[in-house]
Amino acid sequence: MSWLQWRGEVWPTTEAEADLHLHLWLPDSACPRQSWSWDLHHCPQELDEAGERKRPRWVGVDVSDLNLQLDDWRTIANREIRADAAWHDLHENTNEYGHLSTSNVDVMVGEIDPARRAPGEKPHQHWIGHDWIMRLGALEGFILPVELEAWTMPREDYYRLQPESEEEIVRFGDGPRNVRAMARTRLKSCRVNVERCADPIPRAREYLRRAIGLELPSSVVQKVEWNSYRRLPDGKAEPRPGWTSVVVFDLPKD
Amino acid sequence: MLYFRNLPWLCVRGGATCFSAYITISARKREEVMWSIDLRYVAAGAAWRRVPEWKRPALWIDVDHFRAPAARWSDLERACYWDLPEPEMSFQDYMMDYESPAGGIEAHYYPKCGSKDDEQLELYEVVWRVAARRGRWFTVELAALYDGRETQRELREQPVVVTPDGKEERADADAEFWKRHATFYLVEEIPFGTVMVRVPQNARDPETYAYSRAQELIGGLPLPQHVEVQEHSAEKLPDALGLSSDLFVTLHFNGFYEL
Repeated sequence: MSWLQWRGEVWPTTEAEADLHLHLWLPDSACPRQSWSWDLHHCPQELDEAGERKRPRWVGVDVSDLNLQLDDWRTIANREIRADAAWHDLHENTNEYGHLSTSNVDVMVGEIDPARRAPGEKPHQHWIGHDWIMRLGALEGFILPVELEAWTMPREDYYRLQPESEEEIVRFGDGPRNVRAMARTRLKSCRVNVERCADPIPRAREYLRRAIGLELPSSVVQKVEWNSYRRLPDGKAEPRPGWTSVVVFDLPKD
Repeated sequence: MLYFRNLPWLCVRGGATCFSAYITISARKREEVMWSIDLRYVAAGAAWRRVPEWKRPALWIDVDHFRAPAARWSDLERACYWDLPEPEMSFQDYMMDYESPAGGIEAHYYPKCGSKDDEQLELYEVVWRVAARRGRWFTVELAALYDGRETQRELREQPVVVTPDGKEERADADAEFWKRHATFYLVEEIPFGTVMVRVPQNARDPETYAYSRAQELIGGLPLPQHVEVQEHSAEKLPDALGLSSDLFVTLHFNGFYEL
């Protein structure tokens, strides 16, 4: 179940679940080893005049990095993350590929019906915010309830060329709190980087077990994405099994 | 941690900051391997959250041609190039003849948000040393100076301390000294990143050849986690026998494609 309030309007609830994802880097990688992210796709179904089911509007909410480094993944439950300036200062880093790892809330909004949009608003909008609060509830299997509050603004207004002033930095939750979401959240996927080896799947499972105590069920869908490619004479490229890889585990729904 | 112009800085990882080595075709001795340290920084901290990373102030640092490690790459952990020239050295000798085992330094500062205009910092001296090693990671202390002779003069004015056995010794300059006197000063975790080998075009297996050359001239290398073969077409010259190389093989030791 997902519940959403976007810019003051409470949307119809849906049966959708939010997803929790983990990226586990190698032990000696150049970035924090764990990267947890959360996303919700809230897309209520409506009936049109002819009684047809349609989905004319949706909101996607994505928190790119929760900045949690856990010894036991189950301790993700029953905690609150308050992403204020001090929290952002503490967790700023670049990822293994050298890109700045930000912990923003990104909101992607689709509103097909022009009558429901404010004058001048586009059907697709992107809002961003760095002030947010997330509350994670009790864990049951791979599922836990999550509540998110965030203060966002249109992407065009968010990015600028001047750093924030002291006053701006200390202010938390400036402007109206325009995102509130509550959703049953499922640990959906784990991506695990593995060094050169012929069979990375058992090693990836071992990394998850040792790093965060996560035992994956046998029903999990697993695949290997090889990182290295060999260029062929015809200009195409083929993956090189046995080199570095990312093992992707997709957890099934019950 | 970088101290430069009172901005908070974040070290950019992922291959942008690393030790690397380059082996030319003609290199026969380990002293001929060209070693370098690359460091990249962007302005950081909560104040910069709304400025995209590619539009923030940045500092690019390159230290090149320093003395090669003794027998293997991990001997970098004993690197200590912290000596400065004597203040009595003439300007002519300092500029023309003085060669530091610490290598040469070049640094570009991009101060303006959203602009590619850069300021090349005027630096004639670098000192650096490794404090510790953890796997392929080295803890490096580095100070970049405009004129090493001048800094040596300042060092001589450090207070004299009396040891318990009555001897007089000059106190070691601490981090505060280097923050105050260096153009910039940093202490950073820097990984051993890549070895690039120039390989003859007619090598049967360029990757194996490159690894073998790297092992011979650097030593102690683990298996690379990624290998990249590049052909630099701009350098192609008439070469019927394929003896002049234009193949460059980069061995990556961190498992990821480096910048």
